Amino acid sequence: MSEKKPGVLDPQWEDELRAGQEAEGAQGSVDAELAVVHLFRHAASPETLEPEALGAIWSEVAEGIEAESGFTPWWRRIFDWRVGVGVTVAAAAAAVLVLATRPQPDPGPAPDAVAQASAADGLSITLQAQFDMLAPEARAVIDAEVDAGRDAVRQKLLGTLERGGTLGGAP
Amino acid sequence: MRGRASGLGTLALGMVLGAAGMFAGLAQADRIAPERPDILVALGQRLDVEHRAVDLKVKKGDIAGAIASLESLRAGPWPTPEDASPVAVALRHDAYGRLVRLRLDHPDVDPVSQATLLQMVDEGLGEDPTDPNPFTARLWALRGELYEAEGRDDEALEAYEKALEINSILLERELGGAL
Repeated sequence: MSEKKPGVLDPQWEDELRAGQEAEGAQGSVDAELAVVHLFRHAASPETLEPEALGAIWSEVAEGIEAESGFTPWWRRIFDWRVGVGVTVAAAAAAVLVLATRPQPDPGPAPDAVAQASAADGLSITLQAQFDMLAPEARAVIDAEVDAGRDAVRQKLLGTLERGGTLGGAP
Repeated sequence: MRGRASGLGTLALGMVLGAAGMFAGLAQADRIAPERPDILVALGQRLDVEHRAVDLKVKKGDIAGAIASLESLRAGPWPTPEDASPVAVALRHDAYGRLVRLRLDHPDVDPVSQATLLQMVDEGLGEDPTDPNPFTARLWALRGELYEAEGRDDEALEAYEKALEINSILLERELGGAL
């Protein structure tokens, strides 16, 4: 029977990752990736997050993201604007998720939602980036609901026909 | 005999309560079919076609045409959530959000005042309850953006917070599924 492996939110997971990296003599830093994991961990349990710890996480993630994209994280501004810590961390995690899941940035001139954040346009850009991330799945859910409605209508019409009724129009 | 009848009565009561609980749960989860699925289907199909048309117009640079299409959608009619489930509300929020976003991004095309844009957002949000979804969050965010542009920071913050709250719920779901 195999032992259950620790999830990514379990601190043991990070220990195993570092140990594995050392054992294999792997090159390169995984600090940026781990910073994201730290953020996810705290997003999952924001009540344990002290202001000092939050500041430390921001620094970790900020360094990773600034190095990648060259813009200053916007969630400091959110926090300064008196928004709750839980929401702030979730917002930050959303941006990190956008960065983590989007394709590698195109060096061309076309701006995307995240790159526009470098203009420090404020929360509206942040929220637009979150929308870009969340909308596709929401649209898929709505499509499924409409499909279910279509099935219901079809069943209803078939039931009417089986009972010898008419669908209107024909005598 | 009496004991058996009493046991059956308890079982029946349990079944009734269980069924009631199940329906309450299903209703909560919005899994009960809408009263009029045909209305939801008609709305979904109409919006699908219109959004595709708007996509094409935007791609061709016909922003005025795209705005006109979305304005015609805005004119409705929009079904009630009772008729077509809360999905209809999310669909309305999506269409209104897209219209306001497009108008904000292209203020020189068929220009309207900030007050009119705010009125559009309010009209789109309405009073209808819906499940947390990114389209509602976007409308709140747009309200915040409009207030921010007018220097009404407190109202802007309130609107942004609503948007962030919805997105944090959605994000939690995303993280729950991803990790």
